[in-house]
Amino acid sequence: MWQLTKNIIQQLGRKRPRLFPQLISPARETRANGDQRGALHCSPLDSPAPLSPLQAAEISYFKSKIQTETLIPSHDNIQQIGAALSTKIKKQFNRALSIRLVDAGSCNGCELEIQAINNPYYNIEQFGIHFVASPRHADMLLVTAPVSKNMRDALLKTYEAMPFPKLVIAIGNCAQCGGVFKDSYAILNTVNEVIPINYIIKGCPPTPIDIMSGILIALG
Amino acid sequence: MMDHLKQYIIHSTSFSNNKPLHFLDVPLSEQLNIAALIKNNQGVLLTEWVAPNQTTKSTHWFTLYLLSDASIYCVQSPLKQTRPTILDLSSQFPVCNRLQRAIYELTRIPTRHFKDKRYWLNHGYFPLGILRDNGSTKPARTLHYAFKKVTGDGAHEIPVGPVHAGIIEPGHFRFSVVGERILKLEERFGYTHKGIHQLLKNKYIEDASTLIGRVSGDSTVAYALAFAQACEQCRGYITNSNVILERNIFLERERLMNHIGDIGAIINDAGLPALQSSFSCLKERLLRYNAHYMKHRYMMDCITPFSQNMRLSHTPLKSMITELIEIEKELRSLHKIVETHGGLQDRLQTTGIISTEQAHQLGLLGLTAKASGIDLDIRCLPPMDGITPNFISARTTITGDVAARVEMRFKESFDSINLIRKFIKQLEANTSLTHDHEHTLPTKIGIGIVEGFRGPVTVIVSLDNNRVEWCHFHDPSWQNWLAVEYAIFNNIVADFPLINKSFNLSYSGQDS
Repeated sequence: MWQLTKNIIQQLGRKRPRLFPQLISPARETRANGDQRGALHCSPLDSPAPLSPLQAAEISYFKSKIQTETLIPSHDNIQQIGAALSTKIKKQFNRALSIRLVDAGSCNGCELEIQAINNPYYNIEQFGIHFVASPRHADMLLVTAPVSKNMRDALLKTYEAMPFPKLVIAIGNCAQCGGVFKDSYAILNTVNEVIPINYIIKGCPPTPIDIMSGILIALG
Repeated sequence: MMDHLKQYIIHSTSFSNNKPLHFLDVPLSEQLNIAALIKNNQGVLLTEWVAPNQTTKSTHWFTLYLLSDASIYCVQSPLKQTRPTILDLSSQFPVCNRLQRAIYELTRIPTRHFKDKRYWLNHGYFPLGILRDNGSTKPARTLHYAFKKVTGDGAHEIPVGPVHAGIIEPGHFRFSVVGERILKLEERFGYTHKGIHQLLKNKYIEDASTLIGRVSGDSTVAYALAFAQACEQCRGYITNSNVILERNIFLERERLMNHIGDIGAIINDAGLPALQSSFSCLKERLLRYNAHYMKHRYMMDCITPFSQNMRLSHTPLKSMITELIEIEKELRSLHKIVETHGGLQDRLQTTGIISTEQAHQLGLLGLTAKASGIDLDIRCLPPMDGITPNFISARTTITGDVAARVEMRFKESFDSINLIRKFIKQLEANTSLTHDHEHTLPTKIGIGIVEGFRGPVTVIVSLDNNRVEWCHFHDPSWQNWLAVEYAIFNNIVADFPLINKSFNLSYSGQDS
């Protein structure tokens, strides 16, 4: 019975039809090139750059063939870091790096920047990084410091619930020494006192580019 | 009513832009009457705190009220030397329940006849009474936090947090539900308590300004501005009007970017991520312009007391005008989409309602109160001398649902854009102004109140040379978290993220 099911699965796998190959292939190519996708709903900060042949081809797939909005001209840094990130993630994490964020008592500044790396300007999902709701699904834990004493247990439990390799990145100047909150009675001065950390992304708050390059460095 | 209050006034002064501020000295028992009187006259409690008075070597209890007739009353009463207690005001202003618990944990001054002994900020990891001058602390009990139980057929509890699924701050929510319907929500906070009150003691003013800008990262300008106002009032220092205008430009930019981000987040929770990305693009553009003008994406540390601000030169002002034209044009087109999108409005309307009556009973502040039809805005309080013009017109919506709060955010955003334009015009007209600052009489304590994007942010400070003797700050989230508990009633669990996001309150601001 098991053999039969296995056969069926294999058959299905082999015979899976490729729907609209012309629609799928450019998307894959763009991802490999590190081009910015999913950025259709915005208008540029600077004057719109002339469309590359690839972008033009992409637009032509839409039925109306009318371009309603222009793509954001990509920032060089984002594309460079992003390309490096996606190659690493492809190799080490089978194309997808899942991140769980824990606010361990921060002032909310770092959260704003982490939300910002998901916006269409940075669109970190195009490089294979996405934020998950459960630590059980996460390869990496982002901790926004400082760690308050009241959050210590929750942080520890989140860490314990993660599967290996349990990568941990601490974010903010407060992660290393407590930052402006140093020596308060209610916080722990370093994240290291609770869980081992791989890398600290400094800044108050670090910019989205800092966070992206920090993740890149932490991946080794 | 005024006559009753007037007999206690010890002195009247004004704060930022000549808004009236009265200091009252009353006996302890009179505080209850005053609270009731102010509540009946549509006033709200901004904050209450306990602080030592160095000159008389006694401890004072302060309550700060904002009245609808456009004045601010700071009421203080001396406490007994031995076994001091404060009075329970929670029957008039429900937020006092939490404030009184926090006051007990930080100063060990209990509230008379107050039944709720559960800890609010202290989860048992640090001693009680940390703010006491003589350092006599007491170890905290580590007791189980007892939530109020709902019993009955099919009633059950859903605990959520402190670590939430999204990219947000930590806090615990306990839902009591039957099926999908929520019967009760109880909040528990204090997870991000960082002991900032104690850190501020004996700090140099510049360091304190940096620290207070980190109470809540998204309202950093509001906090820094309130702190600067409080310090300047304390010293009797009147800031040059150009600096005031620049500070207000920072404040309005902060409001604009936060409201745009919030509208996007609400729309995302209603199931339209494509539309959200338009809003987050707009926000990112504002952030990048901030970095361009002010060298910081969130304008942290741009405001320091005594005029040492980040200054805006002529070129950024010019480009800010063109920037705002673009932003406004796009925001108007997005507003049209949000208004006319049937599916979206269907989700937003009649969800999470706070009626005007409830808003008054709970003493809500800021944007939440405006969405429920109570218009109390620090920016439009009429000035005492009648010269300084009002900044904004009164604007409210009355339905009090999620749609009303979205609509209010749009209105405030357009207001902010117009205000920034007005300020830029005034700045350009003022270029010939040479005098730096003036002096008035210094006061014992300085009070700074600023309309942040959530509501009035309050900072009270007492200075000792160039150090902070003590400082108290208060976020409008204290009051408005109560509204979430009421707004959620009779809605389904799946609507909680949407309703919570429509308030977008600060956890760090209320815990710190």
